[in-house]
Amino acid sequence: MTAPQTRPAVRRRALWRHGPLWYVGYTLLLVWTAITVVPFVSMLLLSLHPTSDIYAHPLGLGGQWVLSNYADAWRGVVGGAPLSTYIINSVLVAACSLAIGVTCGSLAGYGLARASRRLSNTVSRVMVLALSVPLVVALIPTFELLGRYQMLNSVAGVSLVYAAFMTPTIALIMRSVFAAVPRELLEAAKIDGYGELAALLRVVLPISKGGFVSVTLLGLIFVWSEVQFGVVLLTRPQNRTLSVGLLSFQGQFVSDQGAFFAGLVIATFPIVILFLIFQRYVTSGITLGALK
Amino acid sequence: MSADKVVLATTATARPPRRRARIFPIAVMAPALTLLLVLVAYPIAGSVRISLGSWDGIGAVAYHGLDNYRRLLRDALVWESIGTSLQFFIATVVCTVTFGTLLANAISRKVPGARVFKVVWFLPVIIPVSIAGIFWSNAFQPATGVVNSLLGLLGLGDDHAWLASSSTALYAAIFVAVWTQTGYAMLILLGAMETIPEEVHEAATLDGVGAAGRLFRITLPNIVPMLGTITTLTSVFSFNAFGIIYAMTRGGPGNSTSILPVLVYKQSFVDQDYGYGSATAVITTLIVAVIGIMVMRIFRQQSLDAR
Repeated sequence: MTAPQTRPAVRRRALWRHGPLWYVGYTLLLVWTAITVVPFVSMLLLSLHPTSDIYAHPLGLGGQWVLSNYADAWRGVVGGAPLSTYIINSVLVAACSLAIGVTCGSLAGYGLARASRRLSNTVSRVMVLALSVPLVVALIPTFELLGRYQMLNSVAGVSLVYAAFMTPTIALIMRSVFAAVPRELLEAAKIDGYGELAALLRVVLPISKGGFVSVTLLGLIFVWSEVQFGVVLLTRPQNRTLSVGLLSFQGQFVSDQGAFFAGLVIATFPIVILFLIFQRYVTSGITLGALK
Repeated sequence: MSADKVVLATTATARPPRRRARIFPIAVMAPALTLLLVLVAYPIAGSVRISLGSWDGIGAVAYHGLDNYRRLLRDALVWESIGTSLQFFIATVVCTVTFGTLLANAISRKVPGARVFKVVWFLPVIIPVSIAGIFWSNAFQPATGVVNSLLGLLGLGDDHAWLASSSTALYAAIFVAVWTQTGYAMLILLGAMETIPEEVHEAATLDGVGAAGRLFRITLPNIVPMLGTITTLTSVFSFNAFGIIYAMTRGGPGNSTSILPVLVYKQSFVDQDYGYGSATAVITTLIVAVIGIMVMRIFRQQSLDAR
């Protein structure tokens, strides 16, 4: 085996003695980084200029700096409703669908962690299958179903649909989270006289908070960005969510580029900031869901 | 595999109220399963049902057997769309998985700045796809768009009408799809790479194996199962990339970017021909299923060979 003192030496050599190829590779990583951040930086810069300056300086680095675009975008009517309406709708739909999806999904995850191996594997397989179904095949009958119960253009209808499609992911992630709860803890709870449900609520939930943050954020990312169902189920402008409403943004604001980019910033940055704060939970959730 | 170990065996833990302990897991799974039954399984069956007739959005379905499917086989638009979908899918999956692997490898080999890269490279996954599509389609505009301005700075001309030409619009859409998905692939593959013991890499380095050698002889053989998973996920995603295409081109110019979900949308919600749209949706699902099974077969074979 290696003598202990040679190891740091190897590590140092690997870090500092790079061939020319390494630098080529590293440059490519920097290029990819630039491509990744360009939209975020660019929409932010462009949102701070009057439209006339945007045409003159498409990179957003020259001309006058203003904040008025944000007021225009907030009040501006886009495809039949003001942006503020879309934001309120998005927040409502996100809250409802997450409440339903996280509750049902985590309960199912707990069931998967506690059920017999055969049952657990069968239900997990059903969840994986539901996860890989292309949304498009559910589109038309869902439209028919919600139409039949007067639930098109309603927060409740679209929230239920989003909740259903986020449930399998949440269940599979929460299964891993709950499976990590030590069995002794559950046995101790039973000795203390807790029933199954009480043990779940008072013992298991408090120590699984991280998992809840993960699945809530992943669900939020899904809902905030979903358009395929949104376009079909929310046909009236005043009921649309932000990402659906913004689809008609482009034609509408073609003459007012400043407000257009301010609108994109308003739609993008809240979720980006949430991600930057809770980044660890998002990444751990995705890894937990995949590693099995 | 390892998941089997972590599943708690209730039969071992439950003694006196044995029945209740058996019913409890089923009871807590019931709400989720109901939701899936009503809003996922029922609609899938519904698509098959509606595809066997014609429906105008109101009233009852007038059934006429496999007519829609016969019509579909003769519809040049459908075949064109299948071709477009396959192009879009192959290019997106190959680029996403390749870039994802290389980026994950860079982070797991701890290049300078790896921690920052991991966060930054994931950002495109967070941005709503419609906004990614809207932003990039604006960026691809001639003269005023960011992409063309940057090309102009490099002396490559700033007047490319990327989205107005049917020969380049699909490439622009593929670019955006890869842009939004690579971070996700990177993160999942990174998770798999981090399970490889660091000693293996150190030993190989001592034996004089270079970075590329380690990637091909240590990293890749160890992440084959996860490569299979992410290839399957990316395939399903790219067959379903309605948001990106709809935001960027609405399927145009002409039908040059009409991948299958966009065609289904047009047939159903623009032409009000829901029966025909459903038939296309069913065919789309079958194609996705066949591709998914093929991908899993290939990777399962690979991971057996690697052992």
